[in-house]
Amino acid sequence: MNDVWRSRLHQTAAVFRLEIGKTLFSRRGLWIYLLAALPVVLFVMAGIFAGHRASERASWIASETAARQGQPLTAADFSALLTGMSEAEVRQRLGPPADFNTFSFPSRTPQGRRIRVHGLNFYYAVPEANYEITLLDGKVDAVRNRAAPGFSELVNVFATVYQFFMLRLAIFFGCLGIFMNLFRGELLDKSLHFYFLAPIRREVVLAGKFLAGLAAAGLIFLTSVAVQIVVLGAQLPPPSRAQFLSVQNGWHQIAAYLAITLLACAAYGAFFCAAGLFTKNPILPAAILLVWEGINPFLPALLKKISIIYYLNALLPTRLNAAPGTPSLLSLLISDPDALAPLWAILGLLCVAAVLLVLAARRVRRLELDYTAE
Amino acid sequence: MAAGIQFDDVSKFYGEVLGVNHVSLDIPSGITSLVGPNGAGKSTLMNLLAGLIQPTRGRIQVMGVGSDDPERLFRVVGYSPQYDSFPRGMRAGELLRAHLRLAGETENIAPRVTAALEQVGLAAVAGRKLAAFSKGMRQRMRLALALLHDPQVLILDEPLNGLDPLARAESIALFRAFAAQGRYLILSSHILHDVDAISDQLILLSNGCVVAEGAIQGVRAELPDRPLQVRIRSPRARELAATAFQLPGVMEASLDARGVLITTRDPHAFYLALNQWAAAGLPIEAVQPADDNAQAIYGYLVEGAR
Repeated sequence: MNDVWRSRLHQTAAVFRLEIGKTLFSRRGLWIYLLAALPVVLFVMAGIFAGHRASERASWIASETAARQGQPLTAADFSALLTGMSEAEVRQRLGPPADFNTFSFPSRTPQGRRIRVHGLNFYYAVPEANYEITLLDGKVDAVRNRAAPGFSELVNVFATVYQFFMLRLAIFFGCLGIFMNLFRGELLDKSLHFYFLAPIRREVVLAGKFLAGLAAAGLIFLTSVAVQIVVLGAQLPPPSRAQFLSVQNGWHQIAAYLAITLLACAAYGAFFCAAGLFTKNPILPAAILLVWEGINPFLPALLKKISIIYYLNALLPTRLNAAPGTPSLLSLLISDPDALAPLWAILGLLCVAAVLLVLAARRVRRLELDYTAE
Repeated sequence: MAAGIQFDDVSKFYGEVLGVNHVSLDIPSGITSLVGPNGAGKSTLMNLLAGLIQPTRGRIQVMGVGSDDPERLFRVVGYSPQYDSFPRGMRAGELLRAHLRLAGETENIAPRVTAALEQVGLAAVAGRKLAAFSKGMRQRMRLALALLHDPQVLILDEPLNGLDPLARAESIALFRAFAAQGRYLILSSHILHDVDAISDQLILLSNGCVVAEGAIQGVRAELPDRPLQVRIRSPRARELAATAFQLPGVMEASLDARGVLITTRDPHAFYLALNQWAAAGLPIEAVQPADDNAQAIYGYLVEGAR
């Protein structure tokens, strides 16, 4: 490496050092931490709630077993229930429910007369499952087996939150807050000339600032994703956790989510960094990108590729499947049949980020600092 | 490295608004002041010189470097703008160290920072946060930043604003010492008394155009249509005033505590007569031009043109 490039490397590091502190400890950026912490808080609360429910359930099973002189309810007791049985019969066979709720809804008789149906849900628990018995106007209408949540259910919960909250909202708006301010914020503070009056290429300033933004966004969102995974994993019994990690390729999935997070920060970061240089009002490009990314699944194949979410979705390790009967347009939002191979998706993302950064570099080189015009 | 600072037919427009128009300058070493009313184009000219804005037309060279090449330009140029929003939370010494690192420097950082702070009289507050600095201290901090890498060209936008008398005197001494080394110092100031006191050259701007440039006396000499003002000290001031007023071309002869102030349209005839009066025994203690200063030139060329 010759002296010029060594010097530019030092300059990039100098910009990075100045920017990383500003980005991580900016009061204006507090909301980004809150955004990143939100799913963690939700998962922690859900975990606490689930733990509480599990302990209540265990306690009810124990007391019910004691009431039945050591003969706990079994799956066979629930299979024996028939449609049309009365509430009294259910209580006689199964005892009082662990919990219940009531509801009502309007309906019509076969003759067309308006009536109101009164319903009742009874909840029972056995060691291996939960049961929900629905009675309409005092007669058994349905008996449903609600199995205790396992890792596949938690993986789906995480995948849903990651796909629809983390990628589309938290990382998107977090990167807007971090990267849009790299230049736009300094123009508003009238402090950009600190860099522009130093013997340093403006492209080097851009590189240092972008890397600092990427490091800050990466740190915030990678930490958020990692903590979410740990919190959800802690809700699984150890055998299920071990099974997920070893048999279900869990480590691979975790690594994939972390890599997608970093790639999302890089791509959205490059977009917002460029947008901060090209526009005075950050809301407009952010709104356009948000809408464009939102309608991406419905776009023709060629237009789909001119986006970021298309490549990110292709990398997701968990494919969410739309429930049967979901309208076709809505199911497109959930799972994309045209997803790319991961290698092409990574290359696509890197290309999008590179193109945006080249545009930003051209813009920053011509950027004029005239604060009276701001 | 090519010497000097050249503006070659430079124009700058902000959309349809004129910044500067058809400016061609060859600025020599020494202290050059940019003078003009608000909106005349002083800051535009400085920002063009520092590459913060680019000309719509024309070309600017500073010591052989184009103004669009900041990596090379700021090795030879130091610029202290009017604005001083330093990065938040920094201390004085820390800011200068960061600036040197931005320049890619890795060695001798501490002694250079100390030297720059000593030059502007801020060495004692190197560890203090910039947010706690007064306006004058911030002004000196900007000067320290501009001087940090020992530039050949120093551009200072209103460098004496906010300074107390002692700091002003120290800054002016610093400017003179800088220029005495054959370097280039370009400053703008609204205070024409300062301009007179420190400038070797003057560039007078009005409505984005250069209306005069050169040494102050030279610029005044190029305004022959303007009446000349001469102040004469004599113990027989009243008699001198009455005699002078008889001369053709003398428009006014007034008395004040400093002597007689004569305004004439024909300086040549007046100086000839003055020699004759002195030879005839009229005591004359001092003769001094009263309007070859920046204030007068500004008045003639800018205010007079309004």
